[in-house]
Amino acid sequence: MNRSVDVAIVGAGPAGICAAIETARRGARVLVIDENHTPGGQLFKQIHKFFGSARHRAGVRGIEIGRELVDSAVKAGAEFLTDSAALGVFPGPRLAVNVGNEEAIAVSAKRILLATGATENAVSFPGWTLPGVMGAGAAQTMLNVNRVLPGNRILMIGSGNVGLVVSYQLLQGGAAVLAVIEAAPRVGGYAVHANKIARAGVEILTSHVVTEARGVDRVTSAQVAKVDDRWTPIKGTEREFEVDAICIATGLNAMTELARMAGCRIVHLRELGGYTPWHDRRMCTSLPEIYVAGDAAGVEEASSAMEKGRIAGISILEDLGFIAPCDAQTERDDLWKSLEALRQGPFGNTVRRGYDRLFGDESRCSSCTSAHRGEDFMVGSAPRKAPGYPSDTRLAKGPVAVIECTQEIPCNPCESACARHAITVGDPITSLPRLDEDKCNGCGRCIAYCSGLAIITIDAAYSDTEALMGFPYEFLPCPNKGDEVSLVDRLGKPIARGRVMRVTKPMDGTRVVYAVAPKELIHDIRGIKWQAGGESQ
Amino acid sequence: MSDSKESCLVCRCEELTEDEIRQAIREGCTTLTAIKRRTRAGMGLCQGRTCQRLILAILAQETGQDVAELVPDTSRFPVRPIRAELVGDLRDGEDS
Amino acid sequence: MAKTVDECQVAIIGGGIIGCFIGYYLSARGMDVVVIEKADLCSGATGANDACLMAQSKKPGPKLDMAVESAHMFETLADELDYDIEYVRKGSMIIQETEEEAQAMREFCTAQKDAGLPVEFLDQRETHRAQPCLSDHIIGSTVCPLDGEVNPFALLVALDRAIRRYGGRIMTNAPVVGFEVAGNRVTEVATDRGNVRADVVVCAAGAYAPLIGNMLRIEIPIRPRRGQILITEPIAPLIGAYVMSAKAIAAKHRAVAVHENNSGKDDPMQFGLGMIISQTVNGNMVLGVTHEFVGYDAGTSIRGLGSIARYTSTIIPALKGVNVIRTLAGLRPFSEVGGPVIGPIGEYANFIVVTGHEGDGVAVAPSTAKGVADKIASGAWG
Repeated sequence: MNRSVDVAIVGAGPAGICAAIETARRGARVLVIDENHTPGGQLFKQIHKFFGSARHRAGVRGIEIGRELVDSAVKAGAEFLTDSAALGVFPGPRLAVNVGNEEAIAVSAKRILLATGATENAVSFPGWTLPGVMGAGAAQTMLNVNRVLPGNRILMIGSGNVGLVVSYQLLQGGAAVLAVIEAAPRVGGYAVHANKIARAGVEILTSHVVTEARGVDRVTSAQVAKVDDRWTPIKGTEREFEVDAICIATGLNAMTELARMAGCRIVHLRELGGYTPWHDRRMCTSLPEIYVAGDAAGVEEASSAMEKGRIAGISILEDLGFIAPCDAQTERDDLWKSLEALRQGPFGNTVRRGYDRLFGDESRCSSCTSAHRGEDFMVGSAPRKAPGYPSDTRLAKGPVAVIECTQEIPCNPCESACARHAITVGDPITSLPRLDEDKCNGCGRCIAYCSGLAIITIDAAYSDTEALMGFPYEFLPCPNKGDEVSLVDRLGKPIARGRVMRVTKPMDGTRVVYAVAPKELIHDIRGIKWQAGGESQ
Repeated sequence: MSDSKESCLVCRCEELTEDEIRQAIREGCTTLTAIKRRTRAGMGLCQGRTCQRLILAILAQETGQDVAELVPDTSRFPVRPIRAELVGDLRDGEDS
Repeated sequence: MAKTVDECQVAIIGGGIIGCFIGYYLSARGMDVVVIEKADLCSGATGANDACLMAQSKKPGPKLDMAVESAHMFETLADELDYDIEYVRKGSMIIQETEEEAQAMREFCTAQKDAGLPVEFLDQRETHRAQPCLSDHIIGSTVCPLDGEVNPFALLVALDRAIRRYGGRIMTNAPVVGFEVAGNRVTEVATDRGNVRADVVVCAAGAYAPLIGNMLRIEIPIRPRRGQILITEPIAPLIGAYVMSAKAIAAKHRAVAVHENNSGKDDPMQFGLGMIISQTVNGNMVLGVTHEFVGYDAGTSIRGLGSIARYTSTIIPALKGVNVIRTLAGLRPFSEVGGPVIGPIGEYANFIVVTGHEGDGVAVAPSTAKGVADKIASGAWG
């Protein structure tokens, strides 16, 4: 049976669902159409804790955010059509939808919101079509949704956040990640994500590319080489890795098929992933009945997707007369402020530039708030001067937190973690966390709150020769009190051994493991390695 | 088996190599659609979802244009495969 | 004043099947040729084709003769062009669903047989033995073993290369924007990429010919007629001869009252739904087709796609479970004067129009183009 609704939303990811909540709760008839079985978009496989602020649900795991959003949308009165792919847009506008592979219908709507997300970029190199070579997103779905490891010895191509996070999750799943291969001279994603996997012993090779994947029925090895400043492999630098899977995390691009089919004007903006439907600040495309939101409107991430979805929802409500234009504008202004807050800091530079070009604000100076994001960050470097790092005097006095967070990323759950308000981030939320070492008593509560797992505690007064160090731990099995563990440096190299004195109950999946360590190594030991858990080789 | 970079596959569905794509461009194809017609690249099951970006990069390189100046292929129903029987369900009118 | 970027003896507007064949025959005879195409080769009706070459649908007369002559020419074309154009001759089958259609086809085909076309009548049993996948309700068919299929993309690649081998040029992304004239002769074709001086100009622009004609204030009696097509994933060989419905022919030639088909509400004739089912060399099923006057709208429609899927599934039920992976639409050059428009037109002695073949362009292209090339090369035209 064909359907007719006020708002048809293609894609039940964070953008689509947030738009559904906005529009449905104010009385519009809303239908959300998604080809997956479970709504939530990419959220249903994001098992890591989110960044951002409390408003953006920082510290909450993606899958949980997904569930909450879907509940809210259903409560607001939105209808979901899952296992249903929107296959085409026709004049009307109407969507042709394959419902559950059992029936096809036409959905007529006054407004269509395309929140179709983004798709992974392919990279070609000899052997890339061998079984076992796949997108990192595909690997993540296999791992987190289907509970299947794509391989046991994995090479990751790409050091953006997707590559780093998926590498971490593959480690959690029990696979060995041999290396992350990055063609650029610096790591693309957040330092905290890179540090997490570096501590686990994953090599991050910048200025490297995969030159060939080899194998017969599936990939069995990969050749990697260093590149010069013209991206040309340098002879003599080749290394072989024995792998059974290669994951490719070289960026995403907006899925514009439906927008193109409808006749929306498409622009190419490298900063936003490539081809993107042109749209205005109301999230309306060049066609008045078609809106875009989320990654389909420019590749960013989930928190921004939610805001973009809300903006689109408000604008659609305005079009349909459910809210007055001045109210719509007020809400939009508020949402834009929030969006801009998320885009602060050096990591937001690229996206901000993309949107400035899209909205024609090219004269606006996209201020870079600090040094290039990579300048201060070398994987494995010790940030003794960071505002979250306590002084030697304070360390000598007893338990204290050590926050190794040195990049301006939009994130502040640590601020609300401390009962004594010893950690401040302030405004903008990209500011580096500052530790008031006098207020801090080293209780370790903040350890499990930090989405980047960048906080440990050190009690250098534990004994004359030893310190007690608390580390976040998210692997299974977990060591128990009394077990002896390897103590590793920032690059995962074991430099000492220590006995576990205490393991906390998991707080939302994160445990804190307290181990005794040689006092002279407190500035170097940054993690533990224990048998099957946390091992990478 | 070791391939040189030039004969690396670009379109997996139709098994077309980079060489064949470059050849089509050198013979006068200036758009993705033209390359598709000439080589079948993008006519397979994924309808260009995987190879389109790769081909555009090659096209930009060969013609000296910026990728931003190139035009993607026409997008057509269905964006995912669908049984003919279900296409037969599609009709105008009768909305509820 | 726009720059003249090339000059030639014959400038051909339109890089489709007709334009490229004309370019080929002319350049093979030593004439200097430039083909001017607004987008890329094969981007018009030729690129939205079912690629079926049919003589069987034509009543005796020049159209049938052209189709038969072209069929013979296609046999040796691959060798001549030194390229695999994927020409196969598995024949065509026109199926009948009602007694009235069967009667109409008997009359139609008798006339064709008398004119020399090899056509056979198959009864119900013979029809199903020839093509077991056909629905039980098909009561008979006519088959023509002369009819074949070709890959129009491959064909145009072959013609493109041949034209270049003979020294001809192909200008793509060069929409025509106007002309220079002197007296009753067109002297230059003005395009977005510069002007081309020519002794003779051929307009093989298909459905877009009227727009070209407008630039010279000539009325070319052509209208675009849209055809929508569904393309499926590749499957194992399902049919031999490609299959067409007798409905259109019966309606045209005998003024037969239209019937509803088995699936219910659709009336195939109501909005110009013909039926054709073919299978490419790669195994894709090509299902078609509509005949709609919608101006220059080359989009697909819910109505068109749904109707094609329904009707073709009633003819070959196995199609129901096959995945459709692509749909497309093309604009055929429909002639308002009952047949192709070929020859000098209007006040310009050297402006030769060759279009209006509607859905038969590929089928009659070789003979049509050769005839035109002969006339131009001999000086009879231009």
